[in-house]
Amino acid sequence: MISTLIFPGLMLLLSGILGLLLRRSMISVLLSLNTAMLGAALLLVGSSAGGPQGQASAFVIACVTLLVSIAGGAMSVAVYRRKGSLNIDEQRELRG
Amino acid sequence: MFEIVNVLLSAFCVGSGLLVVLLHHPARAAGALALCTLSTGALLVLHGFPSLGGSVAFVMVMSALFLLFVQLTLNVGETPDRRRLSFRGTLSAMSATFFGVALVGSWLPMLNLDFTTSSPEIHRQMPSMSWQKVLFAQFHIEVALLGAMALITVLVTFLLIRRRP
Repeated sequence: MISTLIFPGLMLLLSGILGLLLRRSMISVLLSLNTAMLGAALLLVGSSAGGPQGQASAFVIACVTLLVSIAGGAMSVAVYRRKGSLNIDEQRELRG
Repeated sequence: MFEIVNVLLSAFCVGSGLLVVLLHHPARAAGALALCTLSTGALLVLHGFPSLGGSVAFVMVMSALFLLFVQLTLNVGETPDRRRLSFRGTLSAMSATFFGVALVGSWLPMLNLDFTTSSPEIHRQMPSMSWQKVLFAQFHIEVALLGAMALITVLVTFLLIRRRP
């Protein structure tokens, strides 16, 4: 029964990684990252056969995702005010 | 009945997750992510994890709504430029490596290293404990780190979105 969680988790993880590959808007990248983390949480619950360790890890992942979204969203606001664009390809100031 | 609801919820969850990637306007993608999160929470509840499903759905919906709020504040669409691959290539390679190592590490017993700091006594009791107790028994360092990260995030957010004169 628990193994039925693995397929949707895997699909969400793959679609999130696909979004990371294809999207250019910073907010879309964050949304794709959220999707991938949601899939990883489902995978953890499914692969631990419903054990408490997988559930606790899934909760930690959800909290980390929320914090990443908040920090990334704030960064998006700051970048947009400074550059006028959210295209991640244009943010090249840190490139060596 | 369980199988039908399970298949429907899984299909809705995967479909809305794909919509997050396929929809070009980030506000619509954020809405799809909120739907995907809610269906994931419902899926977890259906499989017998009501408190975890509710917690994950609540936290992730908050995340999606925050991104929707940021998107509505900035009011920009998906950028049409498709020239370069460097930034997202690096990011996706890092993500793929991270998740790949996590998957291989959890599925191969020989690589299943224990980096946790809990005692063997707690490990023996673990199958009978609830996930909330495990969270504080085994993941106490992670919980402390999460608290520290939350404080740092609030500080960074305040510094980043503060309007300069």
